[in-house]
Amino acid sequence: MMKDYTQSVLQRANEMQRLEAAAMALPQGGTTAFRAGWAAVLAALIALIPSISAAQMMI
Amino acid sequence: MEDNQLMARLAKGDTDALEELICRHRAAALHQAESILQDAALAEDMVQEAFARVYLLRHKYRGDFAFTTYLRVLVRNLCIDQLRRKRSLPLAELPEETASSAEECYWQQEKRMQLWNELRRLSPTDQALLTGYALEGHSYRELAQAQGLSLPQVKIRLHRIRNRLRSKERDDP
Repeated sequence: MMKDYTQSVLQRANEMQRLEAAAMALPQGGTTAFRAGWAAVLAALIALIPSISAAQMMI
Repeated sequence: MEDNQLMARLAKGDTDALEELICRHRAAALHQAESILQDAALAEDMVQEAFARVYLLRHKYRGDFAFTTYLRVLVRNLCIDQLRRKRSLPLAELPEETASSAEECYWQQEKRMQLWNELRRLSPTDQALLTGYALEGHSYRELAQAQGLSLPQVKIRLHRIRNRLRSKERDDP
């Protein structure tokens, strides 16, 4: 029972260590990533336009 | 064997020492967490997190104060962070604890603790995106497929994760 609990604690610690390593390795975004983020938002909005136009036509 | 000796053994990689420390202090830690959080399940979660941090910080532990004090500081600060997340911090009801060398040791690790707190707050999907992208080197497209998200969603989520972690760095003194 206590063995299982300790294993859960160790597993949790390993997961945290892994997340920490990922956070450290995550490349700093800067302007390029910011633009990429906005480009993705715009692309998603533009993708909606045909369906909006189609919906308007229906009305 | 004294607690500090167990911590020394743990620092050398003996996980049986952690088991012994858990055996000795889990009940008291649970009692403390429950008295702050008033929630048994959440208290259990915080105590497990506290022991995970004891393990992660095993090399930084100084043996010049009682382990019980150190654990109490860890549990208390985790519970306070949890209450802050829920925006219901009953500061007046929290037991006053004087600054000790255990407290000092805790704050020396504060930056790392804050990062852990922030990482703990990420959703499971965001955690998977973070490790998949930064550690495993998956592309946005692969991550989108694995997580059932669109490509723009993956990019936006990673952008937000980066900002959250970076703003946490800026908040630190």
